[in-house]
Amino acid sequence: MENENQPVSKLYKEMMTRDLREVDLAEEKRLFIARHFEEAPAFVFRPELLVPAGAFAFCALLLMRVWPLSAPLPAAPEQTARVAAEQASAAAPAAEAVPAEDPMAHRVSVERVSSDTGIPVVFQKTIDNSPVTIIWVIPRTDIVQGG
Amino acid sequence: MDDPDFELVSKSRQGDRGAFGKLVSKYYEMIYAVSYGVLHNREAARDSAQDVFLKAYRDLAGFKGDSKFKTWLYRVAMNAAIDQARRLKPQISLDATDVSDEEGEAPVIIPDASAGPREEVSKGELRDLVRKAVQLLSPDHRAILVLREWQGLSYDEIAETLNIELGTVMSRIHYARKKLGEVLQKMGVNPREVMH
Repeated sequence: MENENQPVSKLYKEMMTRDLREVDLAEEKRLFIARHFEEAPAFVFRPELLVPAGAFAFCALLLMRVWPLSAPLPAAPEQTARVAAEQASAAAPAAEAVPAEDPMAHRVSVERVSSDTGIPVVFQKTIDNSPVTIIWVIPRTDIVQGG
Repeated sequence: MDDPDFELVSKSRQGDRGAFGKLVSKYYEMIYAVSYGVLHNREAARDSAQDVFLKAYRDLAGFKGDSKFKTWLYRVAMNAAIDQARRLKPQISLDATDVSDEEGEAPVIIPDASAGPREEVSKGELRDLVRKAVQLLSPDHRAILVLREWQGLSYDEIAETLNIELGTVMSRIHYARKKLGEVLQKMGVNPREVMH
């Protein structure tokens, strides 16, 4: 039975070989896998997070005086504040000895941050004795994708 | 059962898309070929093959491991391609002649080659004629032909893939080849002559 139909089988195989050779299956396959079955990239490299992460980095750089936003604080505030405090203390012992211009006096202490919409990132740095705190929320993937 | 894909299938079941991507990479050509063998249309074969992988990933929980993953994938692909082929209307030429089907299926229509056997048929023309002849077979016969002639599956493997009896496999293969030869002869191609 097999030998009897050998010519038909050969014709069939030849037709299939030529038909399949004309298709760029490798490229088609690559695109399909990339679209549906690519391994998930590392968390920070997810496309949906690149924009907020980039904006965060930009703000951080901005505040690190790459691009100064405000005029520098008056020089030697510590000395002035200390002398003024001593004088004020001598004049009115009951009064509080807190130097008004000392930015460290207004320091914010961040102990706990939480968010329902994503992962909070806290950035703290003291620039020219001015404490800077940035709280950034990287949105959760399911919220970003509307799922 | 010793399945070489066991590890990748297990990881895929746990939601590892990358692992399933490796299975897609391994079997893409195979699934495309069998889909093409039934549909004989590039776009339809591509869509069908890709749908098969998406469906297989979704339905992986339904794969119990009774057969090899490859066999299960063949089965999903064959069912999808046969269903799609049945939905598509066959193209019939105007100068056609009816020929009754021996297996009691709907009659196939074969272009009449009343001029008799052709003296010379170019390779490209021959390929077109073979393709047309195959398209005149039923989707079930096209499926069995591609599994046997192109994929080289054994009768047992075909029976397992298509979930049919071994005797049915043998009779369908015999019928598909015989019918293909007859159709080609009607088209003016003598398979014995053109292969020598």
